[in-house]
Amino acid sequence: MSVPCKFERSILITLALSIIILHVAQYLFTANPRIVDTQYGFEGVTIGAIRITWTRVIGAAAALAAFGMLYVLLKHTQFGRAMRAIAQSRDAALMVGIRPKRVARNAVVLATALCGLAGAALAPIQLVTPGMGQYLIFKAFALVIIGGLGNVPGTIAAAIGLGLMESFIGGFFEIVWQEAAVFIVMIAVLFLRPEGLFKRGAMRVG
Amino acid sequence: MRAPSVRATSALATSLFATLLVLAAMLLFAALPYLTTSNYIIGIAISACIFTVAAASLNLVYGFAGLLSFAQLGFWGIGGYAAALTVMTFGGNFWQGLVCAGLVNVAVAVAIGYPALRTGRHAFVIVTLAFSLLIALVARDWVSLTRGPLGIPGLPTPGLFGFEFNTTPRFYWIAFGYAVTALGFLYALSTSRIGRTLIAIKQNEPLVRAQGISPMPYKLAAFAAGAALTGIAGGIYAFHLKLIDPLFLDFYFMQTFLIMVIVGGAGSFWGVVIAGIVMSALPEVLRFSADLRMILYGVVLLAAMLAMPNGVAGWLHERSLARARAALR
Repeated sequence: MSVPCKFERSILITLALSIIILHVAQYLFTANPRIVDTQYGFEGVTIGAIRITWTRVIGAAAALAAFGMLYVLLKHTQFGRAMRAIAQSRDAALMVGIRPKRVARNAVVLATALCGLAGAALAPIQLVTPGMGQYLIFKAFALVIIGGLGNVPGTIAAAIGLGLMESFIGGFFEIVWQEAAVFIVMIAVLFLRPEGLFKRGAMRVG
Repeated sequence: MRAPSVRATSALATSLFATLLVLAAMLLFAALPYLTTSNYIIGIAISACIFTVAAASLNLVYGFAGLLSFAQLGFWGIGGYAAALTVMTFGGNFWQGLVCAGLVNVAVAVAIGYPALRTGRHAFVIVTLAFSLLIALVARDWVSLTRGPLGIPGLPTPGLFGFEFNTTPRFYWIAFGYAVTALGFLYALSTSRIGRTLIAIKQNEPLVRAQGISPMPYKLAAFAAGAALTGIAGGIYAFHLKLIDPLFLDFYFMQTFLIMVIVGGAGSFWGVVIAGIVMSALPEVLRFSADLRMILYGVVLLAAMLAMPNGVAGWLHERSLARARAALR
């Protein structure tokens, strides 16, 4: 019997953590949905025939700001350079004195913070429940596969494209196709281009 | 020259002892409806039979082929819905429903597995997880077929040649018969040449390729066989509950299967079977509330991954190896 590979181990450990967090939240706050009730949910801006509530505008602004900061962080700070260096060549990064463990830990912290930001931005738009992230994770995973693992611009492009496609399908077909579309696109991409739609040097830390 | 023959005799005695032990356990399980009249205990035994088969199927895919598949949950749900819909919507009987559950799952497993297995292990995990979440969404949103969150209540009791499986002890025979058949099949598969090839693929895929064996058909076959067995188990479980709704695809089931495999020891057939039976009974004995049980399952999974990544079976194996090494010294 061989020791399970590090990757599977880390998946199962993060899964266990996620189950614990989710159910502790459910135990403490119950599974009843809650509403974040603010004035921003009612008032909004009108552009032509479309009205958008402030909560959605703020959500979009937060997403743009987060993407902008992530880009600056990855491209123009020492921390981002270290992360990209490890993604390019772990051995060479070690040789110039970068500690992969530390950089990977920082990457996890950064990813957790971004995920928390997304949840906070979504809270006033949707109902808040302990399991509200589960169906979003499904889309997030599909997008990452379509965009290519470790390819940030590819993921952004895939997110925007699929968001538009989903709304379009939702307007004309049964709702079940709206959910299935993302998955069908993912399977199609895996068939045609197993490395993701936007193949480029992948960037993944740890 | 005497030592080897003694060792051979003792090995024969051990294997004879193990066979007798398995037969005794099977007899004990078969006689359960005569030992107790409590429907509660027999209900737990039904769950134990079904969950153990599902866990053993996951063990075939993860423990033997080395593919961490979260798609088992989706197959479990597809099996449940396929069996229920065959009976309720398409006018078949229970047994046709089970056959349908198995066949649909094989088809879906090949369609999903082929593109997913071409990618790396990382992408495979993510695709299977996304698949299970998609099936949960489809069960909830495809109202015209699955009746959405309301679910399909009132599944009829199965019958065979005029015999109605209408009480809990009678339904137990179905679950027990299926468990023995499916576990026997999995045991035969995992001890055969195919099982050894799967372990070889898990341990060193490039070496397997170098031996002239293409890993893809083996992986795909393991994935499809695991899917079919899990699906039929799901179908039986749905008829045990007499109801199917989107909660059938709750992550609770996946977590239960995973814990059985991890704690029992991925890659160990008997380890997972024993863990399946024990882990089905233990939460009932300890009587936790549903919320607390999930938290505890998470903690158990975390602890097992950190302390005993190969489960109890792996730990025992390592201990016996260490003892053998100490004896040699």
